[in-house]
Amino acid sequence: MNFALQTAIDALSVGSIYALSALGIGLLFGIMRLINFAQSEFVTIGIYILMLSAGIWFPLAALGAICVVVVLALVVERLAFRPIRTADPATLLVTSFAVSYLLQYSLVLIFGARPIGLDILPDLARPFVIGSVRVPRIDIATIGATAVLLSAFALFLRKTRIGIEMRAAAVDFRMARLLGIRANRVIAVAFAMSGLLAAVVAILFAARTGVAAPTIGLELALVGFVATVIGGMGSLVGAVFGGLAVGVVTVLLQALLPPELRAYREAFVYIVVIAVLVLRPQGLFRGAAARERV
Amino acid sequence: MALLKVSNLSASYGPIPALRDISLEIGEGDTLAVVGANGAGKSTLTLAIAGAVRPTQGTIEIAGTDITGWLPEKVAFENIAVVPEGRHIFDGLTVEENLLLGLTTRKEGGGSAKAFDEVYSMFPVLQERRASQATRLSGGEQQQLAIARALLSKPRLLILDEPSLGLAPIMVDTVYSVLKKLKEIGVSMLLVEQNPARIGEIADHVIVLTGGSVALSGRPEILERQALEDAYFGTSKAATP
Ligand SMILES: Nc1ncnc2c1ncn2[C@@H]1O[C@H](COP(=O)(O)OP(=O)(O)O)[C@@H](O)[C@H]1O
Ligand SMILES: [Mg+2]
Repeated sequence: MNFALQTAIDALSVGSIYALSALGIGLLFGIMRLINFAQSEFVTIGIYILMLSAGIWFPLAALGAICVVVVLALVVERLAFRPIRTADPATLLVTSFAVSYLLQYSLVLIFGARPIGLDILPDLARPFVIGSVRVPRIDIATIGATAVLLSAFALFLRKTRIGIEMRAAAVDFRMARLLGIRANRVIAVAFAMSGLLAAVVAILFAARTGVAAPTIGLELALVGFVATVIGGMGSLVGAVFGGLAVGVVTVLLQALLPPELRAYREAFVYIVVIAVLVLRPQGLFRGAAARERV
Repeated sequence: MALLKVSNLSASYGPIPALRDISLEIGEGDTLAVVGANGAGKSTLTLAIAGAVRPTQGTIEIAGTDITGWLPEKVAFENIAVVPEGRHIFDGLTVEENLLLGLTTRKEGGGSAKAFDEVYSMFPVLQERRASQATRLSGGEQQQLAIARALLSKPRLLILDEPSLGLAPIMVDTVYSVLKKLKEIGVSMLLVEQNPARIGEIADHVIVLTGGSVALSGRPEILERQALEDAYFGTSKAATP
Protein backbone atom coordinates (compact mmCIF):
# COMPACT_ATOMS: atom_id res chain seq x y z
CA MET A 1 0.00 0.00 0.00
CA ASN A 2 2.74 2.44 0.98
CA PHE A 3 4.73 1.34 -2.00
CA ALA A 4 1.70 1.96 -4.19
CA LEU A 5 1.17 5.44 -2.74
CA GLN A 6 4.81 6.39 -3.07
CA THR A 7 4.86 5.14 -6.64
CA ALA A 8 1.70 7.08 -7.44
CA ILE A 9 3.17 10.33 -6.10
CA ASP A 10 6.41 9.68 -7.90
CA ALA A 11 4.52 9.03 -11.13
CA LEU A 12 2.46 12.19 -10.77
CA SER A 13 5.57 14.23 -10.08
CA VAL A 14 7.52 12.94 -13.07
CA GLY A 15 4.36 13.24 -15.15
CA SER A 16 4.06 16.88 -14.05
CA ILE A 17 7.51 17.78 -15.36
CA TYR A 18 6.77 15.98 -18.60
CA ALA A 19 3.40 17.74 -18.87
CA LEU A 20 5.04 21.17 -18.56
CA SER A 21 7.67 20.18 -21.14
CA ALA A 22 4.97 18.96 -23.49
CA LEU A 23 2.89 22.10 -23.07
CA GLY A 24 5.84 24.28 -24.08
CA ILE A 25 6.30 22.27 -27.24
CA GLY A 26 2.57 21.85 -27.93
CA LEU A 27 1.96 25.58 -27.66
CA LEU A 28 4.42 26.48 -30.41
CA PHE A 29 3.34 23.56 -32.53
CA GLY A 30 -0.30 24.56 -32.23
CA ILE A 31 0.33 28.12 -33.27
CA MET A 32 3.04 27.85 -35.89
CA ARG A 33 3.50 24.15 -36.68
CA LEU A 34 6.97 24.39 -35.22
CA ILE A 35 8.45 21.45 -33.34
CA ASN A 36 10.93 23.39 -31.30
CA PHE A 37 13.82 21.16 -30.31
CA ALA A 38 15.56 24.20 -28.87
CA GLN A 39 13.06 23.89 -26.02
CA SER A 40 15.57 21.45 -24.51
CA GLU A 41 18.28 24.14 -24.45
CA PHE A 42 15.82 26.61 -22.93
CA VAL A 43 15.57 24.16 -20.03
CA THR A 44 19.31 23.46 -19.96
CA ILE A 45 20.24 27.13 -19.93
CA GLY A 46 17.76 27.68 -17.12
CA ILE A 47 19.58 25.02 -15.12
CA TYR A 48 22.99 26.64 -15.78
CA ILE A 49 21.63 30.00 -14.66
CA LEU A 50 20.55 28.37 -11.40
CA MET A 51 23.97 26.79 -11.09
CA LEU A 52 25.60 30.22 -11.56
CA SER A 53 23.26 31.78 -9.01
CA ALA A 54 24.42 29.46 -6.24
CA GLY A 55 24.34 31.35 -2.96
CA ILE A 56 21.75 33.85 -4.11
CA TRP A 57 18.42 33.84 -2.26
CA PHE A 58 16.40 31.13 -4.06
CA PRO A 59 13.34 33.16 -5.15
CA LEU A 60 15.65 35.71 -6.73
CA ALA A 61 17.70 33.03 -8.48
CA ALA A 62 14.51 31.42 -9.76
CA LEU A 63 13.21 34.76 -11.02
CA GLY A 64 16.56 35.39 -12.70
CA ALA A 65 16.43 32.03 -14.45
CA ILE A 66 12.87 32.71 -15.61
CA CYS A 67 13.79 36.15 -16.98
CA VAL A 68 16.89 34.89 -18.82
CA VAL A 69 15.05 31.98 -20.43
CA VAL A 70 12.03 34.08 -21.44
CA VAL A 71 14.30 36.68 -23.04
CA LEU A 72 16.29 33.91 -24.73
CA ALA A 73 13.07 32.44 -26.16
CA LEU A 74 12.04 35.85 -27.48
CA VAL A 75 15.47 36.42 -29.05
CA VAL A 76 15.42 32.99 -30.70
CA GLU A 77 11.96 33.73 -32.10
CA ARG A 78 13.05 37.09 -33.44
CA LEU A 79 16.37 36.02 -34.95
CA ALA A 80 15.81 32.42 -36.02
CA PHE A 81 12.13 31.80 -36.59
CA ARG A 82 10.54 35.09 -37.59
CA PRO A 83 12.55 35.37 -40.83
CA ILE A 84 11.34 31.93 -41.94
CA ARG A 85 7.82 32.19 -40.56
CA THR A 86 6.10 31.13 -43.76
CA ALA A 87 8.49 28.29 -44.55
CA ASP A 88 7.23 24.72 -44.53
CA PRO A 89 7.31 22.70 -41.29
CA ALA A 90 10.40 20.75 -42.39
CA THR A 91 12.43 23.97 -42.70
CA LEU A 92 11.18 25.10 -39.29
CA LEU A 93 12.18 21.75 -37.82
CA VAL A 94 15.69 21.86 -39.29
CA THR A 95 16.10 25.41 -38.03
CA SER A 96 15.06 24.36 -34.55
CA PHE A 97 17.72 21.61 -34.66
CA ALA A 98 20.28 24.19 -35.71
CA VAL A 99 19.34 26.54 -32.88
CA SER A 100 19.36 23.62 -30.46
CA TYR A 101 22.88 22.54 -31.46
CA LEU A 102 24.17 26.10 -31.49
CA LEU A 103 23.00 26.69 -27.94
CA GLN A 104 24.13 23.26 -26.75
CA TYR A 105 27.67 23.67 -28.11
CA SER A 106 27.87 27.20 -26.78
CA LEU A 107 27.25 25.67 -23.36
CA VAL A 108 29.96 23.07 -23.98
CA LEU A 109 32.37 25.86 -24.96
CA ILE A 110 31.60 27.92 -21.88
CA PHE A 111 31.12 25.27 -19.19
CA GLY A 112 32.65 22.13 -20.69
CA ALA A 113 30.83 18.90 -21.45
CA ARG A 114 31.13 17.42 -17.97
CA PRO A 115 28.13 17.53 -15.63
CA ILE A 116 28.46 20.07 -12.83
CA GLY A 117 26.76 19.51 -9.50
CA LEU A 118 24.45 22.13 -8.11
CA ASP A 119 22.51 22.30 -4.94
CA ILE A 120 19.36 24.35 -4.97
CA LEU A 121 16.96 24.05 -2.10
CA PRO A 122 18.69 21.11 -0.36
CA ASP A 123 15.74 21.03 2.04
CA LEU A 124 13.59 19.72 -0.79
CA ALA A 125 15.55 16.49 -0.85
CA ARG A 126 14.34 15.58 2.62
CA PRO A 127 11.11 13.62 2.66
CA PHE A 128 7.87 14.29 4.46
CA VAL A 129 7.26 11.37 6.71
CA ILE A 130 3.60 10.61 7.30
CA GLY A 131 3.29 7.45 9.32
CA SER A 132 5.29 4.92 7.37
CA VAL A 133 5.00 6.80 4.07
CA ARG A 134 7.99 8.84 2.99
CA VAL A 135 7.18 11.43 0.36
CA PRO A 136 10.03 13.53 -1.06
CA ARG A 137 9.23 17.22 -0.67
CA ILE A 138 10.43 17.81 -4.22
CA ASP A 139 7.55 15.65 -5.45
CA ILE A 140 5.02 17.71 -3.54
CA ALA A 141 6.64 20.94 -4.75
CA THR A 142 6.65 19.70 -8.34
CA ILE A 143 3.01 18.62 -8.31
CA GLY A 144 1.97 21.83 -6.57
CA ALA A 145 3.94 24.12 -8.89
CA THR A 146 2.57 22.32 -11.92
CA ALA A 147 -1.01 22.57 -10.69
CA VAL A 148 -0.61 26.32 -10.05
CA LEU A 149 1.09 26.97 -13.38
CA LEU A 150 -1.42 24.96 -15.41
CA SER A 151 -4.35 26.70 -13.70
CA ALA A 152 -2.79 30.08 -14.38
CA PHE A 153 -2.29 29.12 -18.03
CA ALA A 154 -5.87 27.92 -18.35
CA LEU A 155 -7.15 31.19 -16.88
CA PHE A 156 -4.87 33.22 -19.13
CA LEU A 157 -6.04 31.37 -22.24
CA ARG A 158 -9.74 31.64 -21.34
CA LYS A 159 -10.06 35.05 -19.76
CA THR A 160 -7.63 37.41 -21.43
CA ARG A 161 -7.99 38.88 -24.87
CA ILE A 162 -4.52 37.77 -25.96
CA GLY A 163 -5.23 34.30 -24.56
CA ILE A 164 -8.36 34.02 -26.71
CA GLU A 165 -6.37 35.29 -29.69
CA MET A 166 -3.78 32.58 -29.07
CA ARG A 167 -6.41 29.84 -28.94
CA ALA A 168 -7.90 31.16 -32.17
CA ALA A 169 -4.47 31.35 -33.81
CA ALA A 170 -3.74 27.78 -32.74
CA VAL A 171 -6.79 26.41 -34.56
CA ASP A 172 -6.82 28.69 -37.61
CA PHE A 173 -3.92 31.08 -37.90
CA ARG A 174 -4.88 32.53 -41.24
CA MET A 175 -8.42 33.34 -40.14
CA ALA A 176 -7.06 34.99 -37.01
CA ARG A 177 -4.83 37.20 -39.14
CA LEU A 178 -7.71 38.06 -41.47
CA LEU A 179 -9.47 39.43 -38.38
CA GLY A 180 -6.50 41.68 -37.67
CA ILE A 181 -4.83 39.60 -34.97
CA ARG A 182 -1.13 40.34 -35.16
CA ALA A 183 0.85 37.24 -35.97
CA ASN A 184 4.06 38.66 -34.54
CA ARG A 185 2.51 39.44 -31.19
CA VAL A 186 0.75 36.09 -30.80
CA ILE A 187 3.91 34.19 -31.71
CA ALA A 188 6.11 36.30 -29.43
CA VAL A 189 3.75 35.69 -26.52
CA ALA A 190 3.73 31.95 -27.30
CA PHE A 191 7.54 31.90 -27.24
CA ALA A 192 7.60 33.84 -23.98
CA MET A 193 5.19 31.33 -22.48
CA SER A 194 7.24 28.39 -23.70
CA GLY A 195 10.29 30.09 -22.15
CA LEU A 196 8.44 30.46 -18.85
CA LEU A 197 7.47 26.78 -18.93
CA ALA A 198 11.06 25.77 -19.75
CA ALA A 199 12.39 27.84 -16.84
CA VAL A 200 9.97 26.26 -14.39
CA VAL A 201 10.90 22.81 -15.68
CA ALA A 202 14.55 23.81 -15.24
CA ILE A 203 13.97 24.78 -11.61
CA LEU A 204 12.05 21.60 -10.79
CA PHE A 205 14.43 19.36 -12.68
CA ALA A 206 17.54 20.98 -11.19
CA ALA A 207 16.15 20.59 -7.69
CA ARG A 208 15.42 16.94 -8.45
CA THR A 209 18.62 15.87 -10.18
CA GLY A 210 21.17 18.35 -8.80
CA VAL A 211 23.27 18.49 -11.97
CA ALA A 212 23.80 20.83 -14.89
CA ALA A 213 25.00 19.29 -18.16
CA PRO A 214 24.80 20.54 -21.76
CA THR A 215 22.48 17.73 -22.84
CA ILE A 216 20.33 17.49 -19.74
CA GLY A 217 17.27 19.06 -21.36
CA LEU A 218 17.35 16.73 -24.34
CA GLU A 219 15.38 13.91 -22.81
CA LEU A 220 12.74 16.33 -21.57
CA ALA A 221 12.23 17.85 -25.00
CA LEU A 222 12.04 14.42 -26.57
CA VAL A 223 9.47 13.30 -24.03
CA GLY A 224 7.62 16.56 -24.53
CA PHE A 225 7.52 15.93 -28.25
CA VAL A 226 6.32 12.35 -27.80
CA ALA A 227 3.68 13.57 -25.36
CA THR A 228 2.31 16.14 -27.80
CA VAL A 229 2.14 13.44 -30.47
CA ILE A 230 0.22 10.98 -28.33
CA GLY A 231 -1.92 13.77 -26.91
CA GLY A 232 -2.89 14.80 -30.43
CA MET A 233 -0.77 17.47 -32.05
CA GLY A 234 -2.37 20.88 -31.76
CA SER A 235 -4.33 20.12 -28.60
CA LEU A 236 -2.92 21.82 -25.50
CA VAL A 237 -5.01 19.73 -23.13
CA GLY A 238 -3.81 16.70 -25.07
CA ALA A 239 -0.18 17.76 -24.62
CA VAL A 240 -0.62 18.08 -20.85
CA PHE A 241 -2.31 14.71 -20.50
CA GLY A 242 0.15 13.15 -22.94
CA GLY A 243 3.01 14.37 -20.71
CA LEU A 244 1.33 13.07 -17.58
CA ALA A 245 0.70 9.73 -19.27
CA VAL A 246 4.30 9.29 -20.40
CA GLY A 247 5.53 10.14 -16.90
CA VAL A 248 3.14 7.74 -15.24
CA VAL A 249 3.95 4.92 -17.66
CA THR A 250 7.68 5.49 -17.19
CA VAL A 251 7.48 5.35 -13.41
CA LEU A 252 5.11 2.38 -13.39
CA LEU A 253 7.42 0.44 -15.68
CA GLN A 254 10.34 1.28 -13.42
CA ALA A 255 8.38 -0.02 -10.44
CA LEU A 256 6.80 -3.06 -12.03
CA LEU A 257 9.31 -4.37 -14.53
CA PRO A 258 11.56 -7.16 -13.27
CA PRO A 259 14.99 -5.68 -12.43
CA GLU A 260 16.74 -7.30 -15.39
CA LEU A 261 14.39 -5.49 -17.78
CA ARG A 262 14.51 -2.04 -16.13
CA ALA A 263 17.39 -0.95 -18.27
CA TYR A 264 15.06 -1.22 -21.23
CA ARG A 265 12.38 0.92 -19.62
CA GLU A 266 12.52 3.57 -22.35
CA ALA A 267 12.04 0.93 -25.01
CA PHE A 268 8.85 -0.17 -23.27
CA VAL A 269 7.66 3.44 -23.02
CA TYR A 270 8.10 3.82 -26.76
CA ILE A 271 6.28 0.53 -27.39
CA VAL A 272 3.32 2.04 -25.53
CA VAL A 273 3.68 5.21 -27.62
CA ILE A 274 3.72 3.21 -30.86
CA ALA A 275 0.68 1.26 -29.71
CA VAL A 276 -1.19 4.51 -29.04
CA LEU A 277 -0.29 5.85 -32.46
CA VAL A 278 -1.32 2.66 -34.22
CA LEU A 279 -4.64 2.53 -32.42
CA ARG A 280 -5.34 6.27 -32.48
CA PRO A 281 -3.18 7.98 -35.11
CA GLN A 282 -4.86 11.32 -34.41
CA GLY A 283 -3.67 11.13 -30.81
CA LEU A 284 -5.64 10.57 -27.65
CA PHE A 285 -7.17 14.02 -27.94
CA ARG A 286 -8.38 15.27 -31.26
CA GLY A 287 -6.14 18.13 -32.35
CA ALA A 288 -6.35 20.80 -34.98
CA ALA A 289 -3.30 19.59 -36.88
CA ALA A 290 -5.25 17.47 -39.30
CA ARG A 291 -7.27 20.39 -40.52
CA GLU A 292 -6.26 22.56 -43.39
CA ARG A 293 -4.19 25.57 -42.55
CA VAL A 294 -1.88 28.06 -44.22
CA MET B 1 -12.55 57.51 -56.10
CA ALA B 2 -13.37 53.81 -55.96
CA LEU B 3 -13.38 52.14 -52.58
CA LEU B 4 -11.53 49.13 -53.98
CA LYS B 5 -9.47 49.26 -57.13
CA VAL B 6 -7.70 46.14 -58.36
CA SER B 7 -5.43 46.65 -61.37
CA ASN B 8 -3.82 43.92 -63.50
CA LEU B 9 -3.65 41.52 -60.58
CA SER B 10 -1.99 38.13 -61.06
CA ALA B 11 -1.27 35.47 -58.47
CA SER B 12 -0.04 31.90 -58.51
CA TYR B 13 0.46 28.93 -56.25
CA GLY B 14 4.05 27.94 -56.95
CA PRO B 15 4.36 27.67 -60.72
CA ILE B 16 0.61 27.33 -61.28
CA PRO B 17 -1.12 30.61 -62.10
CA ALA B 18 -4.45 31.13 -60.34
CA LEU B 19 -5.24 34.74 -61.30
CA ARG B 20 -4.26 36.46 -64.53
CA ASP B 21 -4.43 40.17 -65.07
CA ILE B 22 -7.60 40.90 -63.10
CA SER B 23 -8.88 44.46 -62.96
CA LEU B 24 -12.00 45.53 -61.12
CA GLU B 25 -13.47 48.35 -59.07
CA ILE B 26 -16.03 48.63 -56.32
CA GLY B 27 -17.60 52.00 -55.62
CA GLU B 28 -18.60 53.22 -52.17
CA GLY B 29 -21.80 51.38 -51.16
CA ASP B 30 -21.73 49.11 -54.20
CA THR B 31 -21.87 45.35 -54.39
CA LEU B 32 -19.76 43.47 -56.90
CA ALA B 33 -20.60 39.83 -57.49
CA VAL B 34 -17.90 37.46 -58.69
CA VAL B 35 -19.13 34.23 -60.23
CA GLY B 36 -17.35 31.36 -61.90
CA ALA B 37 -16.93 27.60 -61.88
CA ASN B 38 -15.07 25.66 -59.24
CA GLY B 39 -11.36 26.39 -59.52
CA ALA B 40 -11.86 29.62 -61.48
CA GLY B 41 -9.87 31.61 -58.93
CA LYS B 42 -12.68 33.30 -56.97
CA SER B 43 -11.34 32.41 -53.54
CA THR B 44 -7.81 33.28 -54.57
CA LEU B 45 -9.06 36.72 -55.61
CA THR B 46 -10.66 37.31 -52.19
CA LEU B 47 -7.54 36.11 -50.40
CA ALA B 48 -5.26 38.25 -52.54
CA ILE B 49 -7.32 41.35 -51.75
CA ALA B 50 -7.23 40.46 -48.05
CA GLY B 51 -3.45 40.00 -48.09
CA ALA B 52 -3.44 36.25 -47.49
CA VAL B 53 -2.17 35.42 -50.99
CA ARG B 54 0.76 37.41 -52.40
CA PRO B 55 0.14 38.82 -55.87
CA THR B 56 2.87 38.28 -58.44
CA GLN B 57 1.83 41.35 -60.37
CA GLY B 58 -0.62 44.23 -60.22
CA THR B 59 -1.88 46.52 -57.49
CA ILE B 60 -4.70 46.66 -54.96
CA GLU B 61 -5.87 50.02 -53.65
CA ILE B 62 -8.33 50.85 -50.90
CA ALA B 63 -9.70 54.38 -51.16
CA GLY B 64 -6.51 55.42 -52.91
CA THR B 65 -4.11 53.67 -50.51
CA ASP B 66 -1.93 51.04 -52.17
CA ILE B 67 -2.21 47.92 -50.01
CA THR B 68 -0.45 45.52 -52.39
CA GLY B 69 1.74 43.08 -50.48
CA TRP B 70 0.46 44.09 -47.05
CA LEU B 71 0.13 41.43 -44.37
CA PRO B 72 -3.44 40.24 -43.80
CA GLU B 73 -3.58 41.69 -40.29
CA LYS B 74 -2.59 45.08 -41.66
CA VAL B 75 -5.16 44.92 -44.45
CA ALA B 76 -7.78 44.07 -41.81
CA PHE B 77 -7.00 47.37 -40.09
CA GLU B 78 -8.05 49.13 -43.30
CA ASN B 79 -11.50 47.80 -42.29
CA ILE B 80 -11.78 45.07 -44.84
CA ALA B 81 -13.61 42.09 -43.38
CA VAL B 82 -13.69 38.60 -44.85
CA VAL B 83 -16.25 35.84 -44.53
CA PRO B 84 -14.13 33.10 -46.08
CA GLU B 85 -15.27 30.05 -47.94
CA GLY B 86 -15.99 27.34 -45.39
CA ARG B 87 -16.72 29.97 -42.71
CA HIS B 88 -13.60 29.27 -40.62
CA ILE B 89 -15.28 29.46 -37.26
CA PHE B 90 -12.74 28.88 -34.47
CA ASP B 91 -13.12 25.39 -33.06
CA GLY B 92 -12.85 25.25 -29.29
CA LEU B 93 -14.01 28.85 -28.87
CA THR B 94 -17.50 29.84 -27.85
CA VAL B 95 -19.81 31.87 -30.07
CA GLU B 96 -19.10 34.92 -27.94
CA GLU B 97 -15.32 34.43 -28.11
CA ASN B 98 -15.53 34.10 -31.89
CA LEU B 99 -17.46 37.37 -32.03
CA LEU B 100 -15.06 39.11 -29.67
CA LEU B 101 -12.23 38.53 -32.13
CA GLY B 102 -14.31 40.32 -34.76
CA LEU B 103 -13.84 43.50 -32.73
CA THR B 104 -10.06 43.48 -33.19
CA THR B 105 -9.98 46.20 -35.81
CA ARG B 106 -13.09 48.15 -34.82
CA LYS B 107 -12.36 51.85 -34.66
CA GLU B 108 -15.81 53.25 -33.93
CA GLY B 109 -16.38 53.86 -30.24
CA GLY B 110 -19.46 53.02 -28.22
CA GLY B 111 -17.87 50.01 -26.58
CA SER B 112 -18.16 46.35 -27.30
CA ALA B 113 -21.56 46.08 -25.59
CA LYS B 114 -23.14 48.29 -28.23
CA ALA B 115 -21.41 46.41 -31.02
CA PHE B 116 -22.65 43.10 -29.65
CA ASP B 117 -26.20 44.47 -29.31
CA GLU B 118 -26.17 45.43 -32.98
CA VAL B 119 -25.20 42.00 -34.24
CA TYR B 120 -27.39 40.17 -31.74
CA SER B 121 -30.42 42.11 -32.94
CA MET B 122 -29.54 41.10 -36.50
CA PHE B 123 -28.81 37.47 -35.55
CA PRO B 124 -30.93 36.57 -32.51
CA VAL B 125 -29.87 32.93 -32.66
CA LEU B 126 -26.30 33.94 -31.86
CA GLN B 127 -27.41 35.67 -28.67
CA GLU B 128 -29.33 32.57 -27.61
CA ARG B 129 -26.29 30.39 -28.20
CA ARG B 130 -23.55 32.80 -27.22
CA ALA B 131 -22.07 30.48 -24.59
CA SER B 132 -22.10 27.39 -26.83
CA GLN B 133 -19.07 25.95 -28.54
CA ALA B 134 -19.21 27.64 -31.93
CA THR B 135 -18.66 24.47 -33.92
CA ARG B 136 -21.77 22.94 -32.30
CA LEU B 137 -23.91 25.37 -34.30
CA SER B 138 -25.64 24.22 -37.48
CA GLY B 139 -24.09 25.16 -40.82
CA GLY B 140 -26.51 28.03 -41.28
CA GLU B 141 -25.91 29.33 -37.78
CA GLN B 142 -22.16 29.12 -38.33
CA GLN B 143 -22.54 31.14 -41.51
CA GLN B 144 -24.47 33.77 -39.55
CA LEU B 145 -21.70 33.73 -36.95
CA ALA B 146 -19.04 34.22 -39.63
CA ILE B 147 -20.97 37.18 -41.06
CA ALA B 148 -21.62 38.64 -37.61
CA ARG B 149 -17.93 38.31 -36.69
CA ALA B 150 -17.01 40.18 -39.87
CA LEU B 151 -19.60 42.90 -39.21
CA LEU B 152 -18.33 43.62 -35.71
CA SER B 153 -15.34 45.39 -37.22
CA LYS B 154 -17.70 47.86 -38.95
CA PRO B 155 -16.12 47.06 -42.31
CA ARG B 156 -15.83 49.50 -45.18
CA LEU B 157 -15.70 46.50 -47.47
CA LEU B 158 -17.20 43.12 -46.69
CA ILE B 159 -15.84 40.20 -48.72
CA LEU B 160 -18.05 37.10 -48.71
CA ASP B 161 -16.83 33.89 -50.34
CA GLU B 162 -19.73 31.58 -51.23
CA PRO B 163 -21.87 32.40 -48.20
CA SER B 164 -24.69 30.14 -49.41
CA LEU B 165 -22.50 27.10 -50.08
CA GLY B 166 -23.91 23.98 -48.47
CA LEU B 167 -26.83 25.73 -46.80
CA ALA B 168 -30.47 24.62 -46.88
CA PRO B 169 -32.62 26.90 -49.07
CA ILE B 170 -34.29 28.49 -46.05
CA MET B 171 -30.87 29.38 -44.63
CA VAL B 172 -29.84 30.85 -47.98
CA ASP B 173 -32.92 33.08 -47.66
CA THR B 174 -31.81 34.17 -44.21
CA VAL B 175 -28.30 34.96 -45.42
CA TYR B 176 -29.53 36.91 -48.42
CA SER B 177 -32.01 38.91 -46.38
CA VAL B 178 -29.10 39.93 -44.16
CA LEU B 179 -27.00 40.87 -47.18
CA LYS B 180 -29.86 42.99 -48.52
CA LYS B 181 -30.13 44.76 -45.19
CA LEU B 182 -26.39 45.45 -45.27
CA LYS B 183 -26.69 46.84 -48.76
CA GLU B 184 -29.49 49.13 -47.61
CA ILE B 185 -27.32 50.58 -44.86
CA GLY B 186 -24.57 51.20 -47.38
CA VAL B 187 -22.04 48.44 -46.73
CA SER B 188 -19.83 47.84 -49.78
CA MET B 189 -19.52 44.18 -50.67
CA LEU B 190 -17.59 41.78 -52.82
CA LEU B 191 -19.81 38.72 -53.06
CA VAL B 192 -18.45 35.48 -54.50
CA GLU B 193 -20.91 32.83 -55.58
CA GLN B 194 -20.51 29.75 -57.71
CA ASN B 195 -24.26 29.62 -58.25
CA PRO B 196 -25.34 32.96 -59.73
CA ALA B 197 -29.06 32.31 -59.07
CA ARG B 198 -29.47 34.96 -56.38
CA ILE B 199 -26.84 37.54 -57.04
CA GLY B 200 -29.25 39.63 -59.11
CA GLU B 201 -30.99 40.50 -55.85
CA ILE B 202 -28.12 42.57 -54.54
CA ALA B 203 -25.31 42.94 -57.08
CA ASP B 204 -24.77 46.25 -58.89
CA HIS B 205 -22.11 44.73 -61.06
CA VAL B 206 -20.97 41.21 -61.94
CA ILE B 207 -17.77 39.69 -63.19
CA VAL B 208 -17.36 36.12 -64.37
CA LEU B 209 -14.03 34.43 -63.80
CA THR B 210 -12.78 31.61 -65.99
CA GLY B 211 -9.39 30.03 -65.51
CA GLY B 212 -8.23 32.95 -63.42
CA SER B 213 -9.22 35.68 -65.90
CA VAL B 214 -12.21 37.95 -66.19
CA ALA B 215 -14.29 36.35 -68.96
CA LEU B 216 -17.26 38.67 -68.74
CA SER B 217 -18.21 41.73 -66.81
CA GLY B 218 -21.21 44.02 -66.67
CA ARG B 219 -24.49 44.78 -64.95
CA PRO B 220 -26.24 41.67 -63.63
CA GLU B 221 -29.11 41.84 -66.13
CA ILE B 222 -26.85 41.86 -69.19
CA LEU B 223 -25.44 38.52 -68.17
CA GLU B 224 -28.14 36.42 -69.76
CA ARG B 225 -28.13 32.74 -69.65
CA GLN B 226 -26.14 31.90 -72.74
CA ALA B 227 -23.34 34.32 -72.04
CA LEU B 228 -22.98 32.94 -68.54
CA GLU B 229 -22.89 29.37 -69.74
CA ASP B 230 -20.31 30.22 -72.34
CA ALA B 231 -18.20 31.94 -69.75
CA TYR B 232 -18.50 29.00 -67.37
CA PHE B 233 -17.39 26.51 -69.95
CA GLY B 234 -14.75 28.78 -71.39
CA THR B 235 -16.50 28.88 -74.77
CA SER B 236 -17.13 32.61 -74.66
CA LYS B 237 -15.79 34.48 -77.64
CA ALA B 238 -17.31 37.75 -76.62
CA ALA B 239 -14.85 39.88 -74.79
CA THR B 240 -15.89 41.97 -71.81
CA PRO B 241 -18.62 44.41 -72.82
N1 LIG C 1 -3.55 26.52 -51.47
C1 LIG C 1 -3.47 26.21 -52.79
N2 LIG C 1 -2.37 25.62 -53.27
C2 LIG C 1 -2.27 25.30 -54.58
N3 LIG C 1 -3.21 25.54 -55.48
C3 LIG C 1 -4.34 26.12 -55.06
C4 LIG C 1 -4.54 26.48 -53.69
N4 LIG C 1 -5.76 27.03 -53.56
C5 LIG C 1 -6.29 27.02 -54.79
N5 LIG C 1 -5.46 26.48 -55.69
C6 LIG C 1 -5.71 26.33 -57.14
O1 LIG C 1 -5.91 27.62 -57.67
C7 LIG C 1 -6.98 27.62 -58.59
C8 LIG C 1 -8.07 28.59 -58.14
O2 LIG C 1 -8.64 28.10 -56.93
P1 LIG C 1 -9.72 28.91 -56.10
O3 LIG C 1 -9.30 30.32 -56.03
O4 LIG C 1 -9.95 28.19 -54.84
O5 LIG C 1 -10.98 28.78 -57.07
P2 LIG C 1 -12.52 28.94 -56.73
O6 LIG C 1 -12.67 29.63 -55.42
O7 LIG C 1 -13.05 29.75 -57.88
O8 LIG C 1 -13.10 27.58 -56.71
C9 LIG C 1 -7.47 26.18 -58.67
O9 LIG C 1 -6.85 25.59 -59.78
C10 LIG C 1 -6.98 25.57 -57.41
O10 LIG C 1 -6.73 24.19 -57.58
MG1 LIG D 1 -13.62 29.06 -53.76
